[in-house]
Amino acid sequence: MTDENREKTEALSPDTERFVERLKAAYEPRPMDAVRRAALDARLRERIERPRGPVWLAPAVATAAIALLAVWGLQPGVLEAPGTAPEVARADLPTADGWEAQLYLYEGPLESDSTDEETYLPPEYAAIDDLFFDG
Amino acid sequence: MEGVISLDMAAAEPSLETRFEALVANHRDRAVRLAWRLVGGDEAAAEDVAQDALVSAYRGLARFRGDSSLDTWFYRILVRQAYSYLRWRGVRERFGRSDPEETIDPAPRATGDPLLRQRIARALDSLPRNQRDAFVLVHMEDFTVREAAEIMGKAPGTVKSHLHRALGKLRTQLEDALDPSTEADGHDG
Repeated sequence: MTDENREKTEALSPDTERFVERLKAAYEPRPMDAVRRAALDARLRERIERPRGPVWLAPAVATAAIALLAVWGLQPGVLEAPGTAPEVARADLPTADGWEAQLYLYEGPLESDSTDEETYLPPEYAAIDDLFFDG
Repeated sequence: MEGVISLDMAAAEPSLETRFEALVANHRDRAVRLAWRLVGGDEAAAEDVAQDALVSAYRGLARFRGDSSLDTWFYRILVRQAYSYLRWRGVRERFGRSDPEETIDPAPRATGDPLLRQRIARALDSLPRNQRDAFVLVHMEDFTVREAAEIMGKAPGTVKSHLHRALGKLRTQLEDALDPSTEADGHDG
């Protein structure tokens, strides 16, 4: 037993240790078999070999989208009261109960213990955050 | 995972392809199992999360310089991927767009008592994210506290604190269901 594991188990009373073992045993997924492995590998291969979009175009596309929005916003009547907005603009907006609006505005309990977000983050891990996630 | 990466792709950076193949071969099963536990016992979602994490790892592997463990680096991606999935599922459930088949799945194909499994999934789901991650990583997947701390991007002491709190909450919620003396009576779900 490693020092780390000893440290973990020593912190648990025998009763608690039994509880953890029972919980772990009761919450066990079906083991992977050869068929599932092959299917997962095939999907993985397909995704990795699939050509990615031209990532270098992303800034240009984003800039163009912002420019289009700015031009659209400068049109007379677009930024006036909702009742006077052109029909085409209103039709393009998500409705009050629309999925896009709900998703955009959602600020629900995504992380209820956000106060303990420490700054401890090894550089490589911070790089991963920057690369793949928005958090 | 033989044949996953073509030789043409490997020509540019063979060591990267070799490392990725080893990563998949060594960690695929554990990745799916960990994802299964993190996303509430949904087999299909777990495989999607594991696959997404592997794809992200493949794309980020060239930037990995080996300053830290490749294993914990990959599992950090996986845990974040699982969190992204749970966020997405939470939004869908909140606004009524969830597919019943995508919500907590008693996973009849898994082993054991499906009602108990569903109850455990709900109890884990009720924990704050860091407590759930710490508990699953350390107590269910047998990562050390230090490994879990690296994966979660937390200090080891913080992980221990999360473990303590998670354990207390889970005992409160599940003690009766996991008590050997009441097992014969079944579970009240």
